[in-house]
Amino acid sequence: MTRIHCRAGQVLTLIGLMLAALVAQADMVVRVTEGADRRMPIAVVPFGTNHSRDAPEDLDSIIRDDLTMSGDLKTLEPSRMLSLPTSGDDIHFRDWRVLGQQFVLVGEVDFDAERNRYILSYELFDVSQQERLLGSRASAAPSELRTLAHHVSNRIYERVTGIPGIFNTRLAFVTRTGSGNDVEYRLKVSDVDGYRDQVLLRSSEPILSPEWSPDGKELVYASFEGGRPAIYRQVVSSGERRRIAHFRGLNSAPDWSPDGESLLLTLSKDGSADIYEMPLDTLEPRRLTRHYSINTEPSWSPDGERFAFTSDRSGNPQVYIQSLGGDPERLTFEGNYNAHPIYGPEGEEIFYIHQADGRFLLGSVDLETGEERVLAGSEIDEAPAMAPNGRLVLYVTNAGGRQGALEMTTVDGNARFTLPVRHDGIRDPAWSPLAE
Amino acid sequence: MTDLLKNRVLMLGFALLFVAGCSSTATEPEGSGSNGMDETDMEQQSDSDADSSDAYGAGDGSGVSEEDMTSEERARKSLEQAKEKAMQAASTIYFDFDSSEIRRESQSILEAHAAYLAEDGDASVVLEGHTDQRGSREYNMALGERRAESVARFLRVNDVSEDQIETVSYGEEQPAVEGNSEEAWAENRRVEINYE
Amino acid sequence: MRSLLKAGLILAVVGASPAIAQNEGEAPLVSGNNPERSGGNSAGELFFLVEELRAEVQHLRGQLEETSHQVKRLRQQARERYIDLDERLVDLDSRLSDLEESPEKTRSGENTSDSAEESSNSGSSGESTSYRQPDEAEREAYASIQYLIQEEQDYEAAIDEIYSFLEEYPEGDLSVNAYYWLGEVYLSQGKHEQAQQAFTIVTSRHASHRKAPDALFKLAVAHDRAGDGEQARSILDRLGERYPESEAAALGREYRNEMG
Repeated sequence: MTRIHCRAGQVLTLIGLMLAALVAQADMVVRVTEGADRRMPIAVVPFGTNHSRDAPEDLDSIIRDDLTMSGDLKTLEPSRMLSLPTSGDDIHFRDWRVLGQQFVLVGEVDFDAERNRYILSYELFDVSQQERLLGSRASAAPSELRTLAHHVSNRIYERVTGIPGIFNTRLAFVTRTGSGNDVEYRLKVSDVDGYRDQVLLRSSEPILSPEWSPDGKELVYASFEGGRPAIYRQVVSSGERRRIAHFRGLNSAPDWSPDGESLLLTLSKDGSADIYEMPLDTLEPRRLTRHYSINTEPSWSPDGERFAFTSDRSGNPQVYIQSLGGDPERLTFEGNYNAHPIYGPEGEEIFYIHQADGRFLLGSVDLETGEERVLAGSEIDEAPAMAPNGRLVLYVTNAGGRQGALEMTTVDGNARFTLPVRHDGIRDPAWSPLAE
Repeated sequence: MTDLLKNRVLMLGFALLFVAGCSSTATEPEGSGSNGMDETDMEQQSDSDADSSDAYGAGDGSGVSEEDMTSEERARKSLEQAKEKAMQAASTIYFDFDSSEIRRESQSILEAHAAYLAEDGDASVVLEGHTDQRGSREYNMALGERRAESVARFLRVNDVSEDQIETVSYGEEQPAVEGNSEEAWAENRRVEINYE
Repeated sequence: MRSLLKAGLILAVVGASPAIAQNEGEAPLVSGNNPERSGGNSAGELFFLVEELRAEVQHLRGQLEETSHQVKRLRQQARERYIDLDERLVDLDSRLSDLEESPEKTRSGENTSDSAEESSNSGSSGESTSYRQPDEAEREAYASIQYLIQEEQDYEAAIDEIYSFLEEYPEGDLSVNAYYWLGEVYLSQGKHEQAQQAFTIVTSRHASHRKAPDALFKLAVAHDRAGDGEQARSILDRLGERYPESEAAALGREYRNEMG
């Protein structure tokens, strides 16, 4: 505390901020539920403030939540910090070494009344090298402070791990609320931490399977409005939308190709549920699988040359892989129910829902070795979604009374987190691509 | 042997239920008496429904002077009977987990519907496939479709025209019974036969 | 027309019903079957028959997929075990020769005549260049491997062929060649670890074979491609020392220069 040699008023504000942070953390902290701890410790010191107007968002606390959620970093509780520096000159590296910290982030928030913008100056230090890794200034309008915090989280995460950060990406998901005749489905998008959600579509009929376009500007989804399923594409920013598939029978499980030119989807217009590729210009589907069993849930490989899918051609659902012009090859052999495959971003691993002892868990298979394993110890029973940087898998869990909680696991299964925000009746999460 | 006996008992049971005004047809569950009755009971009951058609006709009290009817009247009569029989038959078919195989016990129900639809070319049905809430949502969507398609195929091989049948799958989206129990799941794995 | 079809259906059902009866134990669907009813609705019967057959085919398909998966895995494991065993043999060999060498050194000061005798012995055993010469069938088998590699470029098939060749004709002149080619094929597939193992078998167990210098060179290449430049350099140095006049040594010097 002695190192904070600034105006007395500022110290008070700082303490106030700390208190605010602590109170907020009681109900919004990202919870790590388990895992072997290989995470790097980082201290995000509560930011100082140089103005009389309090920022409407708690920037350092958002950044702490982000970094914790990454699965690669472990943040220090502000209450355990020995000093609260707000700039690099004030840092006593010994304090942070004592606390076993590898990195320290300090910063100060300013308000530019003329431009109505908050300005965050921040610096990131390596504790053992006593070296400044980042020093920068970023600003945002008061309504965009969460974006600002996520942006800084990205910079820090990328600098420390060398992996692109996902904190400015978005989620799309569906909620189902009410019951009987009052059921309401909503298609929503939100920040990656579940905050700032917006409704894109409301319907009394089911909405399913939203998927992002590779440029992150549009969604495709299935909607039952009018009593029959159809596939729609919708521009997220404007809400403008178009019905693009409305065939007899199933219109389901769309997946946007990596080049953005076509969809894989499941149709049953020719009798059985099969997978089709549909170019978005002609909208004429071409059949890719041909079997009287169920073939659905296609997922493009990142190179766009093949796809994984679920088929019960062997009597129960298993994951298969097929090149666009080739024959299917079975991937999963453990258990009687392996469904909804999604490709890892490098195309080297596939994740899916695996049933064991009556519970549904997250499974993965290594495409090189064929090794199958079960990841999270949590019940998922819902489609998983892959983080665009390949580090996390997101899914909905209803286990342990956590109705509609969004949970994430690192791809190695070492750490799991529950996201702070709940959405009643949440299902079908989809993760946007990395922002340009 | 025991099967035969069981059938008899069930038929008797059915007759009693029938008297009590049992017609638990249409889109029923939620509040209706289905709670106390497990799903196999319901189906066996409807099974015997078709078998006991004589008893039904007798209760109707209209089959007295058949000889006097014109052939036209007879045709109309048989159509009506087929219709009533179809309506009387249960309109929900149940399935095992992750299966779209029609159980043998559902055969007579479906035959009653098929007989009517084959008779009355103007009637048409929508077959709604549903699944329980377990497992993958999109896979369930396809499973519901295949259940409906199974029923449609059965109707088609029994002389029902393609144009009279429409299938739609709601997957796990519209459970008949909310809840997370074996009983609720069993009631949700179904195809509903709805006349338009 | 329709009645004709129906008659056909009934016939089909009648013909098939014994099959249904036989299957009863396995297919629960049939157990509730009532024989009196089966004549009643032939279309329905046929429907159930087809459903059952479909389910049965799916079931069999599943078993086939699982069995072939197991076979694939077993083959892979057999291969791995073979390499592992070979490695252990190589290891044992080198330990044995170490054991033979070390007592001779400790004794060298005491009894020169003995040590001279022993060293000449060990020298001759190391130099024993008489490999079993192949017969016609072995030559043919070897030629077919060469064909697979050089003409067909079917490396997977070639690997299988090499392993069965090694099993059939062990410890011959051509089997050393076969190990060398195994290394080449693995190297071309980017399986550096396996390539290293195959080349090592040639360089350590058959150091006097004519393929040994080439194998040593390729061993260095395999290490280099696997990202271990240091190891690659030391192997190339050894190549120059051990086989200074060989073509491989010349190639090795060139390669080393390029590595920098």
